[in-house]
Amino acid sequence: MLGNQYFMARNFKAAIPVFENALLKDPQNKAIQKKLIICYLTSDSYFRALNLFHSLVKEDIEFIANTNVELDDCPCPEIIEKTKSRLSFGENSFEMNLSLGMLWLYCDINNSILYFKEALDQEPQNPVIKEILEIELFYKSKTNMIQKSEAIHD
Amino acid sequence: MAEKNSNSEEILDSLGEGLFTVDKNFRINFFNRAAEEITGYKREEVISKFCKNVFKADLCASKCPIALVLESGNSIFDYESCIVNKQGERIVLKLNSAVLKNGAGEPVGGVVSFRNISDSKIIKDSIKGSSIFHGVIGHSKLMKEIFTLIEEISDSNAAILIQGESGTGKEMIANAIQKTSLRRDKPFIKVNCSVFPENLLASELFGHVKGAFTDAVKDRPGRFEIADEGTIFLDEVAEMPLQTQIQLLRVLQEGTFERVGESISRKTDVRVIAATNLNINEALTKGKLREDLYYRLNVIPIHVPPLRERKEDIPFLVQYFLQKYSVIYKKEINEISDEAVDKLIRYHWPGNVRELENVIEFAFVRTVNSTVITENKLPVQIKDLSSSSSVKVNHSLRRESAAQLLVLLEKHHWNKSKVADELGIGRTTLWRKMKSLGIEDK
Repeated sequence: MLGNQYFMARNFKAAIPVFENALLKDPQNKAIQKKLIICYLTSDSYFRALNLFHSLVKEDIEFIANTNVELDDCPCPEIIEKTKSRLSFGENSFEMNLSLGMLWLYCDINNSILYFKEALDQEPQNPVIKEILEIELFYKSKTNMIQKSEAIHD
Repeated sequence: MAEKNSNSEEILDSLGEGLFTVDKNFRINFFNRAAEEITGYKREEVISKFCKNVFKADLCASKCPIALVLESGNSIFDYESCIVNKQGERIVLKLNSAVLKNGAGEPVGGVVSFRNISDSKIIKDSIKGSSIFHGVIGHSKLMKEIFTLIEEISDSNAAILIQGESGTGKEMIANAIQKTSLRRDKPFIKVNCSVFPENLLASELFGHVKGAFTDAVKDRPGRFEIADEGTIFLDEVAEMPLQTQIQLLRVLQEGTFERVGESISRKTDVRVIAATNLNINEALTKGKLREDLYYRLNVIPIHVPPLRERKEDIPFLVQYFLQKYSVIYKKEINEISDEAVDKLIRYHWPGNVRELENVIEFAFVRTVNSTVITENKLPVQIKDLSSSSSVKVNHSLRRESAAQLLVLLEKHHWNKSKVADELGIGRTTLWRKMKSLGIEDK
């Protein structure tokens, strides 16, 4: 609960050890995983974030993709803006692409796919990125089909 | 079960204090009627919203009261905060908060109760600006000197020792010091050293680790850790056990301490304001207070005078308390008779300002169908003061001068030569002054 408060107050650094401890007690807790990914990204722990993101996306991509930025008080839009400016200042573009790929899934899957494609172009053999991209593309086509079918029925 | 919940809600709705609860994600899941009145939001507008988005409090981000409880393990009482209501107005609140736990002892939510103290802020604002200093009322020379000193030391981080009898307002002075200091936006933690059993005070101040003693079931930070970068007020510091005094001395000297049961030294940057109502010389002689600690604390000494030495403040304090209780009791009593004030000025006030406040509240409650408190509504020990003795102050405008002169007369045991000397006037002039102010010789 303390981790949630730190997260809500955007004190991501303080939230990390609290969430990590909570995850040790409840490793399947998706809500904690979802927040911890963001915390890792703000503290430049890209590969820890990617590891967690990969497993959560495999298990339940909707849990991230269905985030309501406003209602859920999601900090991703503001972090995305900061990350984009770091990218334009020439910081390691592979890490920034990974970071933006993960963050965008909380807000807009199309942009997430774009940044993961960029990252895959930089490391074409990376199996984790490949798999994430496949899951995202599959999920997108599935939701598109559902939307189309709903539109026909309406 | 549903009936039980409904009853609980009815009970909580009947409270005069605002109250809300949050789940573990800090989304509001209960909001009582008083909370609706204070904030202007309807229950249905806030349920399931994040509390920070509703209250927009100054402290939501840095010092959320529920987070402080989670960090320290202690519930919080009388925590001052400022929120913005639905109409966009700032409201000053005093709040209490606690954590709700499930059967396994895990936190599952929080509860915050709060009351609007903006009214008392208005009262404070309505007292003459020159007589109120960051919540402390004082028109006398002695109090004005303290206010000046507090302003002079506002850039300092040095330790302060406030001395004064019980009820003189040492804590109010500490509040004023904190509010004017460079650390005013940082945590301000208050600890009354006399309320903790000897073996628990060190744990309270410096924290403990799991297993340090029987009830230490988890690590807990102490007040010095929570107050880091801020200020700590140690009331009744001379009641502190000697062993803890040594630990406090180290914090003052080196800024380091250890949690109870741990050998790792931790650093803290805390400004210490201490207070005592004991006679310091006696405490030092009897070995109750360590001399080295005394010198470390007494970098800036402040002596808060007893009310009997600043009787000219009485009319201002009375006016303040009248306004305060008018708001609290929703009764319009805004005057006190000249005779009643005369009695108040003549009384010797062993319990100081605290006693004066109690007396005014007592008289306030007893006054019905009138807007004026008369002397017969005062407590018996004051009402029965012989009116033939010493003083009769007849005019409200002269009360202040009369009170100042009275202080001097009492200080010199009614030796008028000494009073005249101190005032730099002759005895005849003094006699004329006393007569004009209605002060009769003893």
